[in-house]
Amino acid sequence: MMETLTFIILIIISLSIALCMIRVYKGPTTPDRVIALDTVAVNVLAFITVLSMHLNTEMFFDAVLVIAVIAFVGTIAIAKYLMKGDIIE
Amino acid sequence: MSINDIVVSFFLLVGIFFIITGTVGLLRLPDFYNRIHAPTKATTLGVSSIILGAIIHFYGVLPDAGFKELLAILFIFLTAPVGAHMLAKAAYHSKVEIWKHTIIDERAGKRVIGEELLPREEVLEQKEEERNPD
Repeated sequence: MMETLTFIILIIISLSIALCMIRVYKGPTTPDRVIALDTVAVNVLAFITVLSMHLNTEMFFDAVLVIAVIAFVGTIAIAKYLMKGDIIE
Repeated sequence: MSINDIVVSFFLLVGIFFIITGTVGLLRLPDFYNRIHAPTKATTLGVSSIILGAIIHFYGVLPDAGFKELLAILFIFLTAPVGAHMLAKAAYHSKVEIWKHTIIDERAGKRVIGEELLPREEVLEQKEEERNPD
């Protein structure tokens, strides 16, 4: 029962990532693409969590933390670059 | 189907609802400043709900489950608003276009519709006339 539910939820999250990629493709500005990729990262967090429930292991939670950190640092770096044209001054 | 499974399913369904809402908002809203608020609020709440469901699912099944997941929820709640705020500021500085039906630009301290600082009711009337010319 739980396996079926988690499998359906994995499919829905994949569709959600595909919708985000439409926004990445359409743009029209750079911040639009950045926020869409940030949303993809958050969706990947949800995907990994549901996948770890599906496979009944907790090994993937380290990956959740690492992807959260990398997405945050990437968003901040691109925002700084758009604002000042320079990341480390 | 035990009570544990029902609670976990509830949290998963709430989470997937918020994630889908945030993504559709990202796709459908008219300009960048509208679009940025849909995913940063909705998907944060959605992914937190899904991780909460995972904590309940793994509680008592696997040893020492729960601490890393709580840490992930805390981190997502701290970082998502900061990143969205920085990105909105960067977009405003690089002069991303504002939607044409925007009433007030509070950061610049001026109304977008109308020449002067009109009272809010008059601005709303003016916009209503623009939308329905007859």
